[in-house]
Amino acid sequence: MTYRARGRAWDVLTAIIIFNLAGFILLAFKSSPIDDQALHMAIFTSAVYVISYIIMISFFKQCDKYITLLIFALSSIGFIMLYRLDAQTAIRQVQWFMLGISAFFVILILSRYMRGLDRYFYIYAVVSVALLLLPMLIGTIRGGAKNWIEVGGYTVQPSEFVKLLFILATASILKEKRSMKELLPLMAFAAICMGILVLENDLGTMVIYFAVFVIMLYVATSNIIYVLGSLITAGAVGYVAYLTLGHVRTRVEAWLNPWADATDRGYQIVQSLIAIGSGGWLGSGLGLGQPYIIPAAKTDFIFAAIAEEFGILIAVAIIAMYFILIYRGMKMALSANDPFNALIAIGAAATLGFQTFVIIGGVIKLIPLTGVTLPFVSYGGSSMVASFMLVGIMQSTVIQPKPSGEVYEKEIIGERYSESY
Amino acid sequence: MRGDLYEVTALSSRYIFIILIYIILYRTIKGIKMEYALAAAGVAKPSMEPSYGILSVVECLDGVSTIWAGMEFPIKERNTIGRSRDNYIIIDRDDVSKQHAVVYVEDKKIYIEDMHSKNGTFVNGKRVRKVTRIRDGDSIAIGPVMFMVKIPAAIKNQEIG
Repeated sequence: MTYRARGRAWDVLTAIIIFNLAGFILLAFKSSPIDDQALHMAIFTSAVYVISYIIMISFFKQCDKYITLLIFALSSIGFIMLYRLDAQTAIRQVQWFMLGISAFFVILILSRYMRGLDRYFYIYAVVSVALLLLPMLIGTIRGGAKNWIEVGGYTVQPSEFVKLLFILATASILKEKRSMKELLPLMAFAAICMGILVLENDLGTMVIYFAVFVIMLYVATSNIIYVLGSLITAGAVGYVAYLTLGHVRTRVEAWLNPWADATDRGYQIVQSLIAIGSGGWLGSGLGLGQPYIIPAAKTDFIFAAIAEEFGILIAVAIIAMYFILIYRGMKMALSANDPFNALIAIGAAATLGFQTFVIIGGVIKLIPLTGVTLPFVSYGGSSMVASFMLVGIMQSTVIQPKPSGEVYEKEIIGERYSESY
Repeated sequence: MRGDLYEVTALSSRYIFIILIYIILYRTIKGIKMEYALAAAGVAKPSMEPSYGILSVVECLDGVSTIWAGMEFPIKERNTIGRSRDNYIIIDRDDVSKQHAVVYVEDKKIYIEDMHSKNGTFVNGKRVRKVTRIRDGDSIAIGPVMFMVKIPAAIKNQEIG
């Protein structure tokens, strides 16, 4: 029985590796002398997957191997698409992937020794606000949002990492039943974070923070009044922002009718829709479309680029993969024994879910476009490492101190069950 | 000429990509389903303690932060229930005693014992006076919480066989 259960996961890994190899080998034959670099990428990324997977199943048995496998599948599609757009970017993305998965393992190891993370609300809050304020003081503007800082030649986006602290801070207050008055520091903290993000013009991230906050609040208190209050406040603030802030109105108008100004304000969405439409169900074929026309095809609009060349069937499969990933996160929250861990798992799953929804929704013109990355697929070091860290804290909620013995008995129950199955 | 060859290969490999992606999805879902089937039979993930059944919270009055309807506690060798923090199932409300009751497994049978609690433990509506055996489908009421005992068929068969 255990063998069969294990066999399924290996099947999935094998399929991912065949996909990865097929994609890169196809790209290698695109240029006239065969592109050796693509072949190297094929072998190297597959080796990274196998090694990470073996580390995962041998040292972190309690963790969810399917989440890791889905991340491999998503990142593989990302690597192939990035390589097709620009080889250098893809190579850097593989480096970020390795850094990310190392951060993931480090968090899992640390969580075996770390206890009482729920006591430091004020530390989380102060560090979060400080990190969010950094780009305003020493930041650089990129893509209309002032949310980047430069550290030793690399640009880092602090708001990606503050997501973790935001979840920890919110969970450490909401883990117990609180009166309205006791919730005030948390409300103030959340409002300050979102205010800073609005000032930095990072609306997509602000929406994610807000959604995660409301979800955690509702999960912890089951009080619909808080949720309605937050939503009404958000609606009012949003409406005022629409009336007063030019860039908010531009985005909403570009969403309502991008074709009215297709060469300027609606350009991104129009190009994205044309790309998805020209790909159709099956896609134009890898290397045969024109995804490089889409603005920001490597980062925010990578979903449109994938939909064009791989086709809508694969785009739908990607959405299904995120769905399973988030479902597994919610399941982890349900099986957590302690409300703090449950809230962390919910927060991390909600963050990944909303980030995916906000960007895919924006790219397919379901909701107004705000620039955030597609977790594990879009190019970006901060995004890749932060997404891995989110999955890390989500998985760390199931890690408990090792129980002693009893392994033999479990095996026996497993065997008997397999006979009756 | 080379361009044409690439075009044909790329066009036909679209199907391979689609088939592979859906194999990945299908196998993942299959694997997850299998894992749940194992977990329901008490053979959860390899390094977890064995469980003999599940105490599922079917009802929980408002005002308890540590427990909520829908939570499921695997029944282990010894499961203490009460208000203080060192219990397996913590019910943080004044009408629950510090050490309220204990559910334990002996010889593969599950029993419940009231630990001289103030407001009592009720199995199927009857107050527990002495050690009582509990079976699949029994309800246990403690203060604001109502549990349902679930013993998966796989474990029941094992007990008989």
